[in-house]
Amino acid sequence: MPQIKTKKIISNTIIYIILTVLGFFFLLPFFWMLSTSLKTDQQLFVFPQVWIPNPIQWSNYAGAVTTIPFFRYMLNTFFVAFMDVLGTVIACPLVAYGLSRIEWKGREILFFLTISVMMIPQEVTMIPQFIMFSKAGLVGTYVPLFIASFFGGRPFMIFLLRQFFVGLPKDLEDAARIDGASEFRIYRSVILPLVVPGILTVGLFRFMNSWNDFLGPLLYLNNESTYTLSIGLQMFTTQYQTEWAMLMAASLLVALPVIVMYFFVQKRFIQGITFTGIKG
Amino acid sequence: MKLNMEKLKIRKGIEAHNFKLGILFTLPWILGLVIFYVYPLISSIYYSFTSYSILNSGHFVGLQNYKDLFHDALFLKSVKNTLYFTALSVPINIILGIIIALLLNNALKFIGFFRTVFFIPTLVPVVATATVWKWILNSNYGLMNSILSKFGISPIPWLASTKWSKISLVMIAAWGIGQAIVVNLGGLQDISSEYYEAADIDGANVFQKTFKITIPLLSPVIFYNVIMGMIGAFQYFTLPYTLTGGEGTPNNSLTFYVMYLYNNAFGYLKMGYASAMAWILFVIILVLTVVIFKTSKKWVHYQ
Amino acid sequence: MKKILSLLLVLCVCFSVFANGSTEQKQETAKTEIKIWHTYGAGPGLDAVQKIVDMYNEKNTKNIHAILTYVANQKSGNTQTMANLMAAIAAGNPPDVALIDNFQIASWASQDSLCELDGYMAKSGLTLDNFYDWAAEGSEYKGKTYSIPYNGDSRALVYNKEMFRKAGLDPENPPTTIAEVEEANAKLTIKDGSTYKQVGFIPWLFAGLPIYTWGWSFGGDFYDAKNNVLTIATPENIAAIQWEVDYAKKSGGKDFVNYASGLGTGAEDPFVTGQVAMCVRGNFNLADFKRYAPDLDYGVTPIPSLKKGENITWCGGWGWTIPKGTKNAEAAFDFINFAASEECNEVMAQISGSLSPYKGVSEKVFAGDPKYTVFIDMLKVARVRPSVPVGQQLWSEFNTLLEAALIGEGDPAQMMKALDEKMNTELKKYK
Repeated sequence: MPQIKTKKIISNTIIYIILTVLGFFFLLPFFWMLSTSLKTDQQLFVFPQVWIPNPIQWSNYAGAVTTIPFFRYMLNTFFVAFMDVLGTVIACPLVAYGLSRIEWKGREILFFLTISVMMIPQEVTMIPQFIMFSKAGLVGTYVPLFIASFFGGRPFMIFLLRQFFVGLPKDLEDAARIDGASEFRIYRSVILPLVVPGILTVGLFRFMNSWNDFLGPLLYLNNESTYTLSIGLQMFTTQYQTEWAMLMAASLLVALPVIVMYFFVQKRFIQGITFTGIKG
Repeated sequence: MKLNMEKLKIRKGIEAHNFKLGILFTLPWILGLVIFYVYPLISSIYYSFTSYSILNSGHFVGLQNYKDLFHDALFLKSVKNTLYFTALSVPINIILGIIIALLLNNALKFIGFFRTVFFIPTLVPVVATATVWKWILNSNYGLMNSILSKFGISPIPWLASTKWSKISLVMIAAWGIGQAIVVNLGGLQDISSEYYEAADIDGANVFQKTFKITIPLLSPVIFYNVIMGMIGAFQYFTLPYTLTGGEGTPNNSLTFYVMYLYNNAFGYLKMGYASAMAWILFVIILVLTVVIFKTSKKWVHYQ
Repeated sequence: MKKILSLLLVLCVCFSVFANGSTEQKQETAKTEIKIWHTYGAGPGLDAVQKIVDMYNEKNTKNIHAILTYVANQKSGNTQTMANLMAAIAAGNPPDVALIDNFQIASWASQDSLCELDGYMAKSGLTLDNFYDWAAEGSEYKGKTYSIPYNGDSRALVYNKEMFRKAGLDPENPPTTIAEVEEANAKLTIKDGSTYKQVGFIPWLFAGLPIYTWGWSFGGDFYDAKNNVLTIATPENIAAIQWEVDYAKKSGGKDFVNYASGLGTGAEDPFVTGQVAMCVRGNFNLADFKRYAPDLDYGVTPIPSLKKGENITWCGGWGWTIPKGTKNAEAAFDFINFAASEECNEVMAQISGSLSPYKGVSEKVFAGDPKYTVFIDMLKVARVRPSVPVGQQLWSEFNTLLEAALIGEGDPAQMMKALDEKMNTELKKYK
């Protein structure tokens, strides 16, 4: 019916306009980064600012990946992030399930404890944790950077997944329970498939977090060949000077893998409900 | 009589069974808590009663650190700064996050591109973010003031005045709500289209559908964003630290709680003092969280 | 899907085995390895330390092999917070040698976290006599030596000769006193509504920000070493701040202060862009000037002083230390002894462009560059910030005080007296 169609076109156009305007502001700093990454030294400091670099110095990117052992660091960072995500997506959903779909005494206390540990800034727990790992002989390895994930030690993610779990209808498991299925079976076959967007989100966030983590590698790694990208980026800032153009180039390259990953993850979110309630 | 006893036994049996299951599923985290948190947390409480400096175990000072804090003008200022920032930033980010997520939750062409656009800011390394925003908000020739001047507004000293500096940071923080948007998007996925179809049959309009279906069903996720947003705002540190080199300029208007904590811990070698700060912060956040939890029963809908 | 995952997992396990294993070559003879931590990112700073370490490994006859490692840190005000070094010392597993900002020596020494070097120095015959007074003072705490100076920096007034000419000032006759710089500023400042087309001089910009710069230039001082008392609220120090406050008022009041706040942020250096004609900078800025504005026609002259002929500068620098808890302190000192030689100081200055705390070296190395002359000449009479454990906090407090004074939120004399009391109370806590 033509009436509904025009309504849809109007609402879609409005949405596009708003998104474009907002999106422009959101991307603005990113454009500036891109522009700076291609500038020559002379254009970095001019006033008023130059938006489009002229000449365009692509060699800043070459410099960015050769000044520091960029690809070695990228590999290291990827390893740590992968392990972190692995541990998280295995352990956290289990814990979140236990905190939401099973009625047991002590559940709420544990949940509240989970939230409570997030309230202490890590600046004061990091030194005792470091001493612990040091006594265990794990300083200098990657283990301290991801081992907590395998214990579900990511309270932010537990909390998030728990919220996804409780958003599901209460009686979902009842039929399966009556049939006598094991709780784990129910977890795996009934509930888990329904929170795939949640798990993808958690995986993405942990990847991002681990990828950009600075404090962890700062403390635990002291062999230059094992450093991660976040430390590598610091190397562009010496005591008094900063290689601005190369730093921006390197920063963009560091962000790229996560941007690509995110693009593919959000595709899974494609089942959107349009504003007018009609699936498009 | 016998029937009631039977019922009780069965119920106790189920409770015990569920308890075992509950512990089993959450076992990794229970172990994690014990291994990774018990010792550090107890250590840091102990340190708060000493003159611990990391380099040296110091000596016991009892409640002196806590007493000194309440006479520390900069500490009190950092509390004010942080409260101000949190009060502004959290509501703005929640609302903005929902609006943008709703817009992005449409299966329109290029929506994937737009979804990525709003997420990109969170991926930019902090040092780059700080530099970019310093330039954009520069009072003399920043982009922001150039745009405003086209509308006839005289230049605002964004990062140079104590009045505007925190507002500038609220703006920068809003720019970084990509994560909250993604979380909202994820939550929106789980809302079954059946509800909307039923509402359409009843002839509901967009606003009614948003406020009667979407928001209530999204509320568990919104609740998450509120708690996380609040904790994040209270612990806000990395960006202002990078922006001001840890100095909170102008005039300590950007000295946030955790920034002052960090400076004490690693700059002035007063980790004991910093630990006391950490636990005071813990109490503040705890109280607020309990309040939010209690009120959540009213507006968070679990199915 | 599952296959890909398990393959990835196997790859990762293999990777971890390789990644964690140290890849040092196995030596036949038992070499003593010493670990040296530094914080120089890629660039001349790194090249300089690397060269010194390489020289040492080649030349030393004690079968010691030094391994240089970069450790990241975070800038905090004027210094770096070295969280990883602190953690390593706390865990009892520190590197054998660490390069630390001398400005932090007092704090770290007071926490008993650095080895005293006097014993080793006596044995090897190394003294600090070959180093300038400011370097030696900065390396000591309570009469004991905790670091050997590595590099240094000093401060002077740079001025834009082109802007001088345009304003009718003699580019070869720059201001040397406070009165003269105020005069020059009046001629060089062009206001434009509520902002400025250009400004002559802003006292609190860059190296002029620390109150130390102007306190000393006004004839004041900050520390009474004999009695271990900070002398913050001396009349001269207060006069210096009052001068800055009055200067701001004369030059445009709030507009001026706001303009200054909007400058020099991030990558836009107002001296390079020609927005400010004169400012107090460190010798470490010269390389940036050369790089970003190679055609800039500028001169260097000592920081203006209140009374004619009493110009000062102050120096900072980094030094080699031996953290407590290392098992190779002797070997560590052997390296430091080598690095403290005149030869190594020359190498350092040449490659990194930093000034050397070793007497005579900077003159030799930078003989061909007239821009360095003033910076180097002043080394002989340079001051150094007080070597007290509350140094970092005092630094931040000074900055806060100045800001408050400039925006009119406090009376300089009152604030300085209050700070004096506060910091001396803090200082007394350290035995």
